[in-house]
Amino acid sequence: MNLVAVYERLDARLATIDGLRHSPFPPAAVNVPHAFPEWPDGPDYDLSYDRGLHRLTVPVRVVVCPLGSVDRAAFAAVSAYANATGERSVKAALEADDDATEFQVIAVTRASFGVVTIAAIDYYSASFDVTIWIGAS
Amino acid sequence: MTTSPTHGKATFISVGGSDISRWTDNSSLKRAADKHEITGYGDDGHEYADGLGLKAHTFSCSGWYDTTATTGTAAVLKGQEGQRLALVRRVEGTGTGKPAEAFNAVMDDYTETNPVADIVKWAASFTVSGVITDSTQS
Repeated sequence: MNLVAVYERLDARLATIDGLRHSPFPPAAVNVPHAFPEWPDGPDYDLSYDRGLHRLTVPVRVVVCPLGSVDRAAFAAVSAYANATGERSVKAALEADDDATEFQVIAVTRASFGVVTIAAIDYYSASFDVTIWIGAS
Repeated sequence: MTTSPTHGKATFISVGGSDISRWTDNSSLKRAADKHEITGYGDDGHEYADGLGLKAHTFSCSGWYDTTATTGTAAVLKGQEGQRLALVRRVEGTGTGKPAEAFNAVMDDYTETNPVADIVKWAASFTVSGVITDSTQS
């Protein structure tokens, strides 16, 4: 399991969403709208014998706008990112990469919304729960 | 008295010559015996002979469904119900001096399960045909 390769693959999928800036790791500062995978929960090792399967849970954050500038357009943007389908759907973009070289199964299971502070600035954001299964190679 | 456990993650299982360890997450070998009853008139309780009954071992295993075309779950297990297959089990893993068990078994059933919020799983049950041959890996 190569975490760098997994995160770069997630970043490559986020890059398919037009107009969404992206990073393959949590950045020190953002230029909205900006998406990136946060630090993982896991890996959960040895889900089968002989190191045959591992699981990784990765929150993918989409930072939409500074907290003080939330308006109808910002709400529409985050709504599109949270949609299960569509050109701006984070779920659709990430799950289109099922059976990639770096992992074999990916599932975006939940979205939540809230404030995240980056470089001392509060931003309105969405966070997506992403579960990845990585088989032996 | 010293003790020394072994972790299940090292377990090796092969079915029909195919190593299924990497997509298996649980397995169980139950060694059992039929009882040969010798109860006679006047006995107050059932009486059983010592060592006369046949063996009646069973084996079961389960795991996640591997889609690999030639070595995956469907290629190795699916459609084998009713077939007599050669199985090998290494309870402590693979390594010189560790135990191994070899036996033939008939596959009783094979089940695929598709939970909506998880990866696809499988399970299979076997009845051991004949004896289990215990050996030490060299």
